[in-house]
Amino acid sequence: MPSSAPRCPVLIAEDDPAIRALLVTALRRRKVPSMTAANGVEALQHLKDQDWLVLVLDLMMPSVTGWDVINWLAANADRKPKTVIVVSATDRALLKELDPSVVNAVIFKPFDPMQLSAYVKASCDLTHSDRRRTRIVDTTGH
Amino acid sequence: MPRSALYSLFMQAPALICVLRGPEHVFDLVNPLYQRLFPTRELLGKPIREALPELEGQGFFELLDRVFASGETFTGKESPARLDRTGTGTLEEGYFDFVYQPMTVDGRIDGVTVFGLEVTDQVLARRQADEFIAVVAHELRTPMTSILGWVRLLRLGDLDADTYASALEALERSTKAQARIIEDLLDESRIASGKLRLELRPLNLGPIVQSAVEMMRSAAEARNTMLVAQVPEEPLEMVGDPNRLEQVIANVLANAVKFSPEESRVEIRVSHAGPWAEIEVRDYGRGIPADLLPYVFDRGRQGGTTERQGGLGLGLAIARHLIELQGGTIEAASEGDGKGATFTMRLPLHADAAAASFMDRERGERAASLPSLKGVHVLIVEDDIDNRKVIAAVMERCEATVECTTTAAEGLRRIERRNPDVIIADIVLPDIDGCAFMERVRAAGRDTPALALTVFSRPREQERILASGFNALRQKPIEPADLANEIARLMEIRVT
Repeated sequence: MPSSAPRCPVLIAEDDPAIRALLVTALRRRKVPSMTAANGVEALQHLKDQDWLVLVLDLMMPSVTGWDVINWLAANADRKPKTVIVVSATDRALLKELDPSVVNAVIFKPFDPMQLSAYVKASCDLTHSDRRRTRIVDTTGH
Repeated sequence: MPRSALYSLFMQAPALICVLRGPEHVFDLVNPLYQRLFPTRELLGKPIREALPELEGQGFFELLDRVFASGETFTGKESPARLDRTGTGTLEEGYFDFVYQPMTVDGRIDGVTVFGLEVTDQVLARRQADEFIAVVAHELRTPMTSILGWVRLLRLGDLDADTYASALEALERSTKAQARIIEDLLDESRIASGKLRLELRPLNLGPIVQSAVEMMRSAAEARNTMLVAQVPEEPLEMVGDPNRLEQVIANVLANAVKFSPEESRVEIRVSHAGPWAEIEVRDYGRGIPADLLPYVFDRGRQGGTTERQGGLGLGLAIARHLIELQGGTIEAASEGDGKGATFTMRLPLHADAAAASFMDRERGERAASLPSLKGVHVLIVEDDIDNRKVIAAVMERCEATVECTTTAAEGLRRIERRNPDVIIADIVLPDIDGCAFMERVRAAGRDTPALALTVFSRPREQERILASGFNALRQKPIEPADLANEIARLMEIRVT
């Protein structure tokens, strides 16, 4: 069974290498260790292998997409990280509703990496029951 | 206007028209365009609810009732209607602009006239355009996220050397990605409006492939993908547009990298295959399912219909267009899921092959637009062998008689012997300048129409060329059809 106290609390699933590195760097500055998955397949493997406090999830990834990961988490609620943050480049108006039992926040690209990392760090400190509802976090300042 | 004229006006009207009488809306008159919506059904004499039962529940009957009862006109814009056009019970959605106009007889409402236009194609085209714009926005945001994000981190000013270096790399890569998207959009628009122009010139393919590989190297490295290039040392000479060729090769490579798993390998191999240069790009990604293979070069197609892989889906469509414009072909092959894919491009080597294939294309696509120069004697003064061959091939295709020389002196001698009907001359010649050549032709009292081909584009240079006696000037490289039309125009001017 996966351990209940994750060594590395944050998983970043993002296929764009530049954005992935950006998130890792921003989190490292806040002393939050993270691991990365370059696609949905890797993300699912990491989610099966260990517990995570926070998952930062891109939607548009090849073969196994962010939506697939959300569906898998909906069906495997015990593997759900405390906080699931979706990052998306899709238009707000066009983004279909994401399963609120899985997704805690949606952040639209382009985002401010320092604000996102602050939010992730805060999420690491919160307890599971505090955040159930989906909310839209605007880090772009408009 | 006689009644019969009104009737034919009604029957030939470019709109869907019918007249419905009474509170039951019985079809009293139906014009052919309206009838064509329901080709298998008899409408005349039937109440609309009976004639078109599939419209029940779509709101149209209720509207007709209201217009009949109130006498107020109703106008519908892009209203969706599900119709059984084939009479088989299958409903198809269409969109209509229409007017329900009450008809009054002796101050009493007697029926409703329906005027309509089907606008389904327009609605679907606009919807497609909207979706495309959403994709463009999405695709521009991804590199933008990286650019803004890294700039934000750089501003903090305390990144370690490695992170700093990779930040700059990410910035460069993302900016280039955005530039690429913008270029693709412009190309797509140029292709759609037929305004894409190539700058054809003799070239060696090897260095162009190398440069495309270098262009893609950082994108491949970012995914830990190895780019392996095999280019023969012997020159692969052909006529083409070097920038566009590099773009096509980079595009196909980018595609291979994108569809490869991380830490994979993409190979590009260039070889000689008879009269062709062959460029093969092989990846070990997830491959292309057999049913999608025929569509990989279609605009907006990617790996699947429901899932997108980033990018505008224009790259391969543009690549095919550019390759075909240069007389080549591009094909995709894949053994299926998980087996990777191979893209093979073939480009005609040497000017002969290029000219022949341009000519094939002209024959196939716009043979009608190539003017006939039958009986016209053309003198070509051009020292570059490839250019000369292309020009000669174009002229011969127009059935002109062609004579070629490589120097101005030889050109003057030929003119002395037999005055041609038209002269095509390069400006940079091995012995004397093309302008000096033309001045001597004119000084000898010959008014033979003459076209200068030049790589110079500055206005002062153009003035100098025209002042020397050339009747027209065209920038090199010139497209075959343009060249042929220009010569035909010069011949016409002389006749009139």
